[in-house]
Amino acid sequence: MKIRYSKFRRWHHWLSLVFGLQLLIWSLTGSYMVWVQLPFIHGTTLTQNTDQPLGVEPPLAALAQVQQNYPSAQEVSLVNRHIGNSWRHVAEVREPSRSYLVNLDTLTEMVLTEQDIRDLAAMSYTGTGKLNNVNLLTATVPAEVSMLQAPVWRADFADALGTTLYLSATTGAVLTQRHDYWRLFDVMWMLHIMDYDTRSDITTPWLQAFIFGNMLLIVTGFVLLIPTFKKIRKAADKRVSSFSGGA
Amino acid sequence: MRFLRWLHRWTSLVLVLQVIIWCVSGFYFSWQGHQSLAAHDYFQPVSTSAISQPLQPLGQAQLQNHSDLLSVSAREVAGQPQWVLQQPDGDIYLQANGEPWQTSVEQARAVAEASYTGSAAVVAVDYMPAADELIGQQSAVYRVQFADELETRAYVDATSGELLAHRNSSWWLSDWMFRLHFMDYTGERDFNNLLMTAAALLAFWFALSGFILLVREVRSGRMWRTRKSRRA
Repeated sequence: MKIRYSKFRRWHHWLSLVFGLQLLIWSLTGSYMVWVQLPFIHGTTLTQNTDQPLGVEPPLAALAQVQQNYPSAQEVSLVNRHIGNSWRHVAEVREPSRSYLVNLDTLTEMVLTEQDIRDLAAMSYTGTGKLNNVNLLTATVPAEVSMLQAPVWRADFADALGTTLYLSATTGAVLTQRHDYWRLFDVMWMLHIMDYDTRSDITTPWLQAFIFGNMLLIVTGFVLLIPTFKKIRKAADKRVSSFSGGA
Repeated sequence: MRFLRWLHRWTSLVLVLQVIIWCVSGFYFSWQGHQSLAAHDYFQPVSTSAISQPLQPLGQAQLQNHSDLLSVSAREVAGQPQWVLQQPDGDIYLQANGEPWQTSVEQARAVAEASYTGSAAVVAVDYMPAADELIGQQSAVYRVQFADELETRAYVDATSGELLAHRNSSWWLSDWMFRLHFMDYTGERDFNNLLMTAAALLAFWFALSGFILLVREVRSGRMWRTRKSRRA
């Protein structure tokens, strides 16, 4: 069968005009996502645990009282947390919809101050930048932490990474961390999966159409490789025949 | 220009198979969606209920073997009270009386059922010292199998009684698609591996060279010429 290469070349050019830019975007965004280390993107080394060990003879009996006073608790934990400028034993109570701290002496729910959050954020942070400002987000959370529920504190640090820690307003725990390389990763992911709206839907027909178009682009390109394959084979045959001729 | 075309051709010779693999596996991901890829067709998070029984505080004696405790938590797993002692080198699970926690077959089954949204019944519960279907799982598990069309199985951590993951009949295919897409044939999900990073850069160069060739083709006007005008 005779292949009309000029026809395939024309298809290859036109397909690349329509779909090729996305192939370039896939390779660029894919390269970024595999070149930066995933633990660095997650920012796991940016924060550390700030609770102190419970020490000898922790007040375990108080947990039973907390549970009695808060019967909808799914989990009751004794922790040693930095609140009010010192470490103190408190109970962290987890309910289906929210978590909060309970004072072990009064058995009442505790309210964390801005200074508490500032202290906890600064101690959690392992970097060298200064804590710039903290903001209480009461109604909505930014898109970069869409899985969190308000109220949360946002703590911004003045470092080269543009680090932001998000802390629970009711327990003071660091919920997650974000930095500029994470934010860039998120943009890369958006471009890679071609969901420019929610940045999470990988099932759009739009994406599938581009994958299909690029497959056609590659198949036409593959056909154009056939002369090269033939050339390689001819060269190999020649080498073999010259070898046997010399023998 | 001729050199660039030559380079594009020879790069493609090296890379063409992998680009096809990226397209096919990428299409598979898009077709399946997050939920099926995670074998979450019949999955829901296990919702633990409120603690139903008054807590029996642990005695100090029971904590003496464990120094540097970071937290002590009370909760219930499948209706049974459980203590979780958090230590720097890992968590320890105890029963209400302070004895080491051991997940029973019945508890594993109850946790698995709480995570399952299908209507099929449990057909088998197996204790397994290791689970080769779970990436990075080192300790013993229970495998709870359901009689549905996907052969869904839920894995429960024998150490803690927590639900680990769901798997089903298409899991092996999803697993291999991930390995092929990330060129990580060990299955450890390490997508920062050397082969992957090298191939990604080469692919970027390949796409970029094609793009440059296309721009020149368009600017030279050759793209728009019809076959007739070319012949003339």
